[in-house]
Amino acid sequence: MRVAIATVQVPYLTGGAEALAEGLKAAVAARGHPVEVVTLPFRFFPPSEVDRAMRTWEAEDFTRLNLYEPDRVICLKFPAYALAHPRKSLWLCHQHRAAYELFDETRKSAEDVALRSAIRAFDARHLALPAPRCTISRRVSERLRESNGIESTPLYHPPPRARDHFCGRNEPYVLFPSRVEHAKRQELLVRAMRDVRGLTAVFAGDGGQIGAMRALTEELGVTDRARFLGRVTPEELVALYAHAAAVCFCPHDEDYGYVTLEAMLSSKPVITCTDSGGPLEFVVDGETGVVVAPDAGEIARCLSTLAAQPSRAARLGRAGRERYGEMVPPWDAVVDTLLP
Amino acid sequence: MSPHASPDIDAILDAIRAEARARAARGRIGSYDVLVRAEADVPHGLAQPEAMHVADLLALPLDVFLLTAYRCVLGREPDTAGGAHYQRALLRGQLTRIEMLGRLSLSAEGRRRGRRLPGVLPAFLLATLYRVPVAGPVAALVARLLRLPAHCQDRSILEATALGAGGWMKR
Repeated sequence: MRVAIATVQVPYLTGGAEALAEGLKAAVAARGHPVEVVTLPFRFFPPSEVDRAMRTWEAEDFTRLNLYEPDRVICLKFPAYALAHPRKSLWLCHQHRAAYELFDETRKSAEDVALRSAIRAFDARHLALPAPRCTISRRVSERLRESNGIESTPLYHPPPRARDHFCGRNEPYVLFPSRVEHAKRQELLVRAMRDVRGLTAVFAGDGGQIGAMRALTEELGVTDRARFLGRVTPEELVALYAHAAAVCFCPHDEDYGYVTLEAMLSSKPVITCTDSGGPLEFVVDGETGVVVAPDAGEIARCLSTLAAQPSRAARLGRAGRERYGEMVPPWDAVVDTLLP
Repeated sequence: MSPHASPDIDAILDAIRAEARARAARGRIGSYDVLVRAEADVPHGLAQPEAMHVADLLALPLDVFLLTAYRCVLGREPDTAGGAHYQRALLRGQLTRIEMLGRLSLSAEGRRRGRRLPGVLPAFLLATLYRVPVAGPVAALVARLLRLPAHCQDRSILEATALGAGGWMKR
């Protein structure tokens, strides 16, 4: 069976969706199917570019690619799922969130409002058609149901380098690995460090807010309790997880969140927030980690407690590792679902 | 001051980076820290560190030396802060291996355990003496002068055996 994985990418911005596409490609190839990732650049600004992208993908006919046509197309992102093919699978990473829950009516122009309507109509035309119709998480399925009335099946998958993770000796730091952006809310942990003793906050990852976060640590006088490592290698990331006392991951309404899974694979307790989205599907408060309100004081109390109770932290971490095994299927099972 | 008393986060992160580099370079676990976990990776001789001669210990690769020194003297694996501290000091030339062994032996934990490696203590005291300002370098110079005849003899043996009558003399 010849397989195409259709997606879009903002050039040079590599994140979870790109890792997912590569992981899926490798898993399909491992089953002996010829497979290609077919991608186009996505421009999210100005609004006319989003409109053009929708029209481009609606005009794409994957039954006529010259020479070789795919037997099955797996669509991952907006607006790639509009392409024409009789056997489309949907495995939705997320919708164009700027047209849904991230849309701020008070600050948008008439052009933005018109684009939002166009995107919603586009999604209504195309998202109900593929079969099977899956998403990467329960949270993404919930959004699809709430905003478009479309049912879908959450289909989890392993994070990159899942086999490499291990649990090493705990060291006195809490790890926050993620791009440093507003939506990831590293600020909560930086502010929490004012009241945390015995642990250092270690931030791995770069991003547009790293300068602001460094400035905030200086302003709050917590430079001795925070380290910003910037971009780290995959091997460094695995080792950082392995030796962390705990992992803090408190984004706002994340789609899925590899960080949670990587922490669980490393047998580390995860601290997340009540509005963090995807991580809440895996973190059970008091069993595999701690779920707190998105408040620096709450996070500080939680970290201080974990630092003072290492045996409890270890127990939560072990339970997280077990829960990972119960919840996350291997890639083979993912491929079976997407290639019926 | 004991390096274990106050964990140095930068030293810990350095050790973790070194561990990651070793994994990347060798395609397998490589640093002293992870050697503790992976017994299959432990080189011959580490299983029974008490049986090792100091000269053999000093000749080990750095990571393995760190692990074995802790096992020999303190009877345990290095904690990451302590291991990273000594690793950095050795790499920067701030300590010699003998000095590290001596410091471990004379630490509170080392004294409690009471394990002494023959020959380490005199060499450690001498190395410590060499670090005393003014008197230290003078003492080191005297010691080297005293060892000069032995060095010359070693050199003759080396030339006669390992290097043979080969071309380097002609060059």
